[in-house]
Amino acid sequence: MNARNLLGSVTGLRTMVIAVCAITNIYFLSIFAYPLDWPTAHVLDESQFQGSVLMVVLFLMLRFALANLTAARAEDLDEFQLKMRDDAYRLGYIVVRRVGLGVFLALVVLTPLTESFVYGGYDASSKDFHVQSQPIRDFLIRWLQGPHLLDFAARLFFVLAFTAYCFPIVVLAWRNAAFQASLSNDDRLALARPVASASSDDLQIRATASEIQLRVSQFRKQLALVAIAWPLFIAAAVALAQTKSFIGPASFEIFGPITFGLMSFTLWTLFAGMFKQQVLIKKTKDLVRASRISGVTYRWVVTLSLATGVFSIALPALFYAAPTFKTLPLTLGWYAGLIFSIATLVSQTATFIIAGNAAKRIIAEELAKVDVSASS
Amino acid sequence: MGRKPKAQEEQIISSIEQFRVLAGLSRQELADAVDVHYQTIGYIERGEYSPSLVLALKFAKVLNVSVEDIFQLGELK
Repeated sequence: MNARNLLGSVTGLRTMVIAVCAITNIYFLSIFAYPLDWPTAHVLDESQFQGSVLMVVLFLMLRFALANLTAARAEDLDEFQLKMRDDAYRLGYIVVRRVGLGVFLALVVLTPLTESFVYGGYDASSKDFHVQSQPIRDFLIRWLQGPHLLDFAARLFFVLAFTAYCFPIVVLAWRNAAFQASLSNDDRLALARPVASASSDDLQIRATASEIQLRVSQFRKQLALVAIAWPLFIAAAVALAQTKSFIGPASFEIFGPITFGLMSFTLWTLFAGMFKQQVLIKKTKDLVRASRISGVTYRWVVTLSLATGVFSIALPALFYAAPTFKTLPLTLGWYAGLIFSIATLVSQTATFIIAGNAAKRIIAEELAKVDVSASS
Repeated sequence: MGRKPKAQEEQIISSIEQFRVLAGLSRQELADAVDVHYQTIGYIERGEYSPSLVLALKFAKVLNVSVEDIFQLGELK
C-alpha cells in the first residue's frame, strides 16, 4: 500500500490529521517542561529539531495526499470542490486569527506582563498582588521571567506561522475524510444505472431514510462524548461531596472552566437532541405510512422521545415543586442528578439507535435493489 | 463538503434525483454531462449543496426540463 492509498482512506487521513495536530501541540507545549529534572528536560531539548522536522514531514504527506484538491488549478475543479477548498481556507484563517488573539489575551490576562514592563519586574511572591494564591498564573510569571522567554517567543512564532500555513490543509483533510465516509454509498451508486422500476415513492423513502441516518450519524459522536463525560463528572462530584475533599485554588482554576464547559456542552447537546428527536418522530411516521417500518418502532421512538423530555425536566421540577427536596443533603441531590441525567441520556440515545437502525436497514434494502439491477 | 447554513439547506428543494432516474442516467453520466465530479451530484441530490445558477441551467438542459422543475424554493421562515 503506497502513501497515496493509505492517505486516501478515511482512517489514514484522520490519523494523519490527529498526528499533525498532536505533534504541533507537543512541540509547542514541551517548552513549558523545562522546570523538570535534568534528564527529561535534556531529552526534550534534544528532540526539538526532530519534532519540528516530524511536523513538517507529516504535513507534507498530508499535502501530497490532497494534492488533487490543494494544488489543482481552479479551472480543473468543479464549483462544489472550489467551495470546499475556499471554506477550508476561510476556516483556517478564522482559527489562526482566534488562536493568535487567544494567545495574546492569555499572556495579558494570565500574566501581568504590562506590570513587568512598567515596574521593571514582577515579584510573584509579592503579597500586594496576591490576596489568593494563583498557581498557574504564578508559574507563568516565573517562567516568563526565566531564561526561556526568547525561545518561547521563537517557538510561538514558528508554531503560529506553521499553523497559518498548514491549518487549511488539515481542515480540508478532516472534512475530506468525512466526505469519503459519507459517500461510500454514493460510490456504489455512482456507476450503477438507476433501477428501472424505481418509483418516486421509492426515492422518497430512500431520501427519508438517508435523512434519518444523516441526523443520527451527525449526532452520534456528540452524544457518545456526553454519555461518557457527564456520568463521570457527576460521579466525581458525588465522590468529592462524600469525602469533603479540600479543593485548592489550582483545582478551581482547572475544574471551574471544565465544569462550565461540560455543563454548557451537555445542555446544548440535550436540547439540540430534542429538536432532532422531533424530526425523527416525523420521519419515522412517514416510513410507517409507507409500510417500511413497523408501528412498534415508531411507538418506541415517540415513547423514548417523550421520556427524554420528562426526565430532563423532572429534577428542576422536583426542586421547585417540592420544598422538602431543597432540604435534602447535597450528596443525595448529586445522586438524583446522576440518576435523572443518565435516564435522559439513555432514552435520547435509544431513540437515535432505534431510528438509525431502521433507516440503515431500509438503505441496505434499497442498495440491494441497485446491486441486483446492476448485476442483472 | 461542510454543512451548509441551515437557511440555505432548507430553502432549496431539489428533485434532481427523480429527474435523473427518469432520464435513466447514473450519477457519473450526469456528472460528466454537466462537467462536475459525481460526488458533487450526490451532495446536490441530498440537498446538502445548492448549485450555482450556471450549473442549475446545465442540469435543466441535460435533463430537458426547466430549472423550476428541478429546484424549488422551500418555505421561507
